Order: sequence, then C-alpha cells, then structure tokens
Amino acid sequence: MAIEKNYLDDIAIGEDILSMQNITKIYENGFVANKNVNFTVKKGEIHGLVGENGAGKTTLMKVLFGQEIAEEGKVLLGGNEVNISSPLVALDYGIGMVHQHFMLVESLSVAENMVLGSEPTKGISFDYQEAVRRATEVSKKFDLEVNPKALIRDLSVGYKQRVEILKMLLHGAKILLLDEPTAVLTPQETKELFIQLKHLKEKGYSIVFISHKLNEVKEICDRITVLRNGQSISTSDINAVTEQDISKMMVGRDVFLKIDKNEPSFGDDVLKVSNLSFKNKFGLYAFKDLNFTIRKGEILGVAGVEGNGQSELADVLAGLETIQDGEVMVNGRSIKDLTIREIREEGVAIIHEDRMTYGASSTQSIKENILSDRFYKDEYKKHGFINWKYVNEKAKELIKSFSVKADGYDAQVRTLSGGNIQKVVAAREFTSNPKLLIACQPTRGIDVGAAELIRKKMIALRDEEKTATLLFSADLAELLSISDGIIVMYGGRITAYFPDVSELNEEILGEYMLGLKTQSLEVAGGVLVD
Amino acid sequence: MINSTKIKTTKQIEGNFRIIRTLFAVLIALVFAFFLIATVSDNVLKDFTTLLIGPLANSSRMITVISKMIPLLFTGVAVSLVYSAGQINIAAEGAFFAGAVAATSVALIEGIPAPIHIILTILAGSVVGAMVMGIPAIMHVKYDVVTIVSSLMMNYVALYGGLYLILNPFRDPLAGFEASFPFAKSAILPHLFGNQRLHIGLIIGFVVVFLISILLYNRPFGYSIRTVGQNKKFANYSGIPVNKTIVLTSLLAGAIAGIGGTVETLGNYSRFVYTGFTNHGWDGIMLAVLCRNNPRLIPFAAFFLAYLKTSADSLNLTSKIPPEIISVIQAIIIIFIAAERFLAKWEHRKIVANSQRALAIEKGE
Repeated sequence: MAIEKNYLDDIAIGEDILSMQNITKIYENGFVANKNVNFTVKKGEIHGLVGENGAGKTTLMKVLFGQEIAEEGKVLLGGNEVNISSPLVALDYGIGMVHQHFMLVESLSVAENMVLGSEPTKGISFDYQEAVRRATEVSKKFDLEVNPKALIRDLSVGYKQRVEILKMLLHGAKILLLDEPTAVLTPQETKELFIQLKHLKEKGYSIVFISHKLNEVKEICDRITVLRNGQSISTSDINAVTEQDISKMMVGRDVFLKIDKNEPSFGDDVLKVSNLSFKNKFGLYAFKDLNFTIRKGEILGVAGVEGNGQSELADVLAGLETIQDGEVMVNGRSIKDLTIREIREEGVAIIHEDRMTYGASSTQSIKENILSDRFYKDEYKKHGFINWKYVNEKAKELIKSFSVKADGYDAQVRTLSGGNIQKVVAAREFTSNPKLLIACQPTRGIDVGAAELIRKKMIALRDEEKTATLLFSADLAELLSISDGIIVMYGGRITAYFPDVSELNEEILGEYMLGLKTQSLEVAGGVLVD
Repeated sequence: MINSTKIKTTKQIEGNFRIIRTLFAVLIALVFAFFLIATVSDNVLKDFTTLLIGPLANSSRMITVISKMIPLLFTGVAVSLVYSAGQINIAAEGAFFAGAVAATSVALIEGIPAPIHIILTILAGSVVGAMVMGIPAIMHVKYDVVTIVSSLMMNYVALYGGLYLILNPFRDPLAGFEASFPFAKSAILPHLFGNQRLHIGLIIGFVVVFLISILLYNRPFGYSIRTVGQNKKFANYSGIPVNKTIVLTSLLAGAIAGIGGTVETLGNYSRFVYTGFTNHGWDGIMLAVLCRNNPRLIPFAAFFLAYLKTSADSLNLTSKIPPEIISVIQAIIIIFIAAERFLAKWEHRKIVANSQRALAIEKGE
C-alpha cells in the first residue's frame, strides 16, 4: 500500500489532494452529524475546519480517518475514490489524525508509543533499540525534539501532542488531521505548535486544523471551511473573511462575545478553604496547602493547565473525595464529615467536568436527570410517592428556560447533543438555590449558543441570588470575561492571585500557568486576607 | 416542524426493536426446538404441536401452568429488583431455598393459631432470604467483593446449610424418604377455589408484583434504586446514598425470594421435600432478562415460562422427548435477548432511513 503514499507525493503543491463529497453520517441514536458535506484540501495548505461544537467537525474527520463509516458520500485521494474502512487503512493512504484526547499509552516510553502498530522486532521480541532509533530519526527529520526514552506519563500536554504528531509522521502520514489541537495548550505552547505546523506545511504536508478559536484560525490557516449543524456552509480564502464573518457563518447569526454583568457587590464568606492538601492514590500530592475564600456574589476563576490539582480540588469540595488534611467551611460549617447529600443541602451545587459519568445519567430521561438531587424533597412528593405530574411540569419549565433541544422530558439524555446534555446538568445545578456553585469546565466541548446561555445563567446567579462561584475553566477568555478574581494553580499550589481581572490578559495568565512566574507567598496569599 | 405522524423518534424505533428482538429470540428458540424434537421424535408434527398448545388441552393442565407460575412471580420480581440496582446478585436461588427451610423450621411448631402461624412462617422465610441476598451486597460495599462470585457461592451455603438442617434436626425418620417432619396443619396455606394446586401464594405473588412495581417507579426509594443501577457515580454525585441503596435493595430482593420459597413449600407440600436446588432462582434470572428488569412484565413472562414447562411435562408423558428440551429453549432465548447487538444492523438501517426521511421533509419545507 506504500504506493498510495508515493502517489500523493506526485501531486503538485496547491492542487487538490483530498476531496470529500456529499458525506452523510447518521449515528446509531439517529443523530445526523453530517449532511451532504463537501470538503476539499489542497496539497501543502493548512485548512481550517471551523464550526461550533456539535457542528460535525470531529465526525467528518473520523469518517476521513476510518473511525466512522459514512452512510453516504465518497472520499477522493488525488482524484481516485478510496474506501477508508478503518484507521489502519487511513494510515496506509497517508492520513493521520491527532485526537483531542491523545491516543497514547501513559506507561510506555515515547519511542514505544511512536512505533505502536508497526513495532520493530528482533526474533520474537520487541526491538527497543530500533524503536528508539526510528523515533530519533523522525524527530531529527522534522526538527521536532523529543526524548525517545521518556515515559509519556511524565510529559506535559504540549509535549504529548508533539509525540502524537511525530507518531503519525512516522507512520507515513502526508495529510494530518488535528482535532482542536490548541484546546489543551497554553498560549506559549500554542505559538510553538504553530511554528511546527508551518514548518510541516513548507515540506509539502497538508494539515486540517479543527478549531473554534477564530484568532488562531486567522493566524495559521490558508483556507477555511465552515460547518454548521452538520452542513458545509462555505469554503473561503482566509484573507477574504473577517473573524466577524466567520463567527456569523458558524452560528448563523451575529454573536455578542461580550457579557454584561453588574458591578460586584460581595457579601460574607461562603467558602473558606484553609491549608487543604490532598494525596492521590499513588501517595503523591495532587495539591498542597491551599488557602482561599469566596464571598457571596463573587465568581472566583481557577486558571491552570489540566492536571495541576484542579480536578482533585473540585472533587474534594463536592464531597466526592474525603478531606485528608486541612479544612473546608461552607457558610461557616465544616463539610469534613458531611455526606454528599448534606453538602448539597448546605447549598453546594456542582457541575462536574466529566459530564457523561458524573453530571448526567445517559440512559435515564431528562426529567429523571433533573430530579436526581431533589427527588426526596417534600416538594416533589405526594403521600410518599413521587409526584410525577409535578415533576413533568417542572421538567417542562426547565427545558424551556434552559432551551434544551429534545423530544420532550422523557427523551433519554444519551440521545442529546453535548451542549444540550450540559444544559440539562445546568438546569438541575442552577435551580437548587445554590449558595456555592462549583463549576468545572462548564462550557467545554459545547456549542457557542449553549455556552453563552450557561455563562449568562452563571452571571444571573451571581447578580440575583448572590451565589458564590468557583469556576474552573481551560478557556481563558471565558475566565477573564466572567470571573471577578482569578487564582492560578500550578503544581498543586496557588501560584498567583489576581483580585481584579481587568488588568489581566491571557499572556500573563499563561506565564503563571506554565510555572514561568510565581507570585510571592504574601501576594498569592492575598486570597486569604480579603 | 416535522410531521410527527410519519417520523418516529429514535426512542420509538428502539422500543419497537426491543419487542422485535424478544419475539425473534422466542421464534429462533422454537425453530431450534423443532429440529431438536425431530432428532428424537417418531412424530415430529404431533410432538411439536404438543409443545406449542399442549397445556391448552384441558383445564387441569392450565391449572398446572398457573401453579408453576407462582414461585416464578417471586423469584422473577426479586431478580428484577436487584438487577435494577445494577447488582448482578444471583443468590435468589439460595434465598428461595433458605427461605423454604426457615419457613419449615417455624411450620413444624404445633399449637399456633393458623393466620398467625402463616405470618410467622412468611416472616422467617423473608428474614433468612434477605440474609442470603443481603450478605453478598454487604460484602460488596464494605470489602469490594465481586457480587456475582460471592452470591453464586452464597447459593451453596444456603443449599447445604439448609439440607443439613432438613436431614438432621428436622428429618422425619419414619417418612421413608429424605424429608422433614410434617408441617403443623395451621401452617399450611389455604387453597384457592378448592383446588389442591392453587394456594394463596398466587395472590401474595401478584401483590408483590404490584408493590414492587409501585416502589420502583413511583417511590423516591425506587428512583434511587434505578439511578444507582443506571449510573452509580452519577447517583453518588447527586447525593444518593449508593451503598445503603444497594444493601437495602438486596435485602428486599432476598426477602421476596425467601417468601417465594415459603409459599411454594407450604402451599404445595405437607413436608419439606427438596433435596437440591429448585431452579426457581435461576429461572428468575431468565425472567428478569426477558423483562429487562421491569417487574410489571414478570407475570407475563412467568406465565410464558410456566406454560413451556407444562408443555415439556406433557411431551414427556406422550412421547420420548425429554423435558430438558425446555432448558435448551430457555437458554437460546436468553442468549438472543442478552445479545444487545442482535439485529443491530437492521435497527441502525431503520434509524438511518428515519432520520433521512426527517431530513428530506425538513428540506422540503
């Protein structure tokens, strides 16, 4: 099959290398992810594939990579129709994909991961030296530096991504599909990635760059294709469109990226965390000696590269993990020995970052999902039985006020799109009269419309109900636009505290998130003083 | 926006396919049975007809069907309940047996007035049954023991522990076979319609079906059970006490199986006569799978299974077909219903076609 790859080499720069025609993909739950999508990539270009989450970008790429089989349509490579039935076939044709969630084996080395699928052997055993040699070779060839012997689990996210890209190149990929590569990167890492991508482009590689960050698309892409609701809206040269044009095409209407909120008016402390430390199951500190407070009506943002203790902190505050060391007070009461129900009854609401495992029960209906934290309360009972009539009414109301798109309140949650599932989660958590809201990545992976709604509702809670909010988000623009103050977590510690976000920007946050800068303990400790 | 009379929701299609899948499973099992009968039978058509409609031949056989259905109501509901909580606890067999032994121990006591005596036997059966299914659940939540293994083993503890009691302290040396002393008259369950094979266990069974259905779908605790069963982590995150729910559900399921053992023994026999597993617990697993853990459907499935068993018995009388053929049919049905992907391609095609039609209408408008 190596012939196919050489065949791609013969195509001149600037000619069509890949063409997807009339692709229609319908999932098992009946969801139509792609409707007659047309998509063409030229050799040696970086092609932006943009659209809201749920627009069908990832599905289209999965079809191209053989992970999903389209119901209709065809794929042409260099003008010839090909049948890509699995990722192995895709790789043979020279198509490589770097997923949003890396496909790496954490416990293996860089070299071992890179040769996975075409492992060199010596006799009947794996030839580690040869694997290292190959990894070094490809790393030199593309000027992407990696240590072949390092273990994946010890690497940063940006580094892992580099390994993924090299893995695809090692397997002979000529067309690289990058699914939201910058979603997990800091601004500095993103810059570095862009340099690498431009480098590859100069060598004649074609790159599909999926993103919904328009500034990045403008910066790096040659052409863009916009998807909306599973349909291809248009393909245009990047210089011919403005960011405003693109966002309009993505959403189908004008979007207001700015969020209005009242001047802050803070009340008493709602959450007070003192000297809180947590060791994970390997006995390592996930975070150590955290001190901070949140007041009534305050949104405190938490910035940080994933894996710096944020998830564990959220789980401890939600009662999903026990408090090992230190103190957590909610409304002046220690939550140390409380059950999760008791914590929730103190007025704590939680949007968990793992929506499908913790946030929602996918095989249950929308109304049953909304009911999960309140079904035992008198309001929802009549003579000891669940008052389904009342539940249905409530569910109907919430579906309307959170504009959940679904076949009514009896629809199973798994049949909804990501954004709508998150709206169901929010419909529950935001309506339990929360005193303290712990929101973990509340808008991750959901469409602009749903994200806008969830952000507005969070602001409304802050302004109208004086809810104190702890907001964990990887989206720095979101953090900067809704938070009143921001703390940065790096290496399990709070390394910076900014009481006022107005002087902040993504660059400054990025430096702290990468650990390049750290505030002195007195300044970072300011969270406590206030 | 979409013409709802023409376009179904995916949920409806999936619902239809659940029924189609069940019917197909039964059909395939019957075809298989036909060929099995053909290998041993002298008159295939006659024997196969007996299998299909044998129990309808006379009212006595229909009463047998109803009588065979009674214990299945209890074990079917017990397993459905515990499976609803996501617990693969297969100790209903042991709970049924131990319940019968416990009831026997009370039924042997003379001199208690009838209604009280019956209530006491049921109480004894339910408590011991609850222990048999509850212990694996407690071990699971406390020590993370895998329930399917511990509950399987629990069946043998119940069986041999029970047999020890029956064959030693309770054994009647004058019976002439391995059996307990005769039950006190006051402990024997009243019969229905003056028929020797129908007893009030039938009514108790339907009451249990009704109460557990209400519990599962209309009581807050039932909501907890189903939520724990669908997604334990979500339940925990929502504040539902997961471990407590698992233990209480298992205890309740065991109690129901134990009552099943009690009424089956005290309704049909004058002494304890079992010398091994009765298989009612295993049948309960099959019924739960067939009904997708919905207790409301258990009476229908129990009737179906009891009907097949009666057919097999009459086949055994009128031909040389062994009654074990019913076990083969049961196994085939379970395999096909448990096969989630069975007919999945057909289902997917239907869903795709439906979505495409919806698309076409959307475009047209």
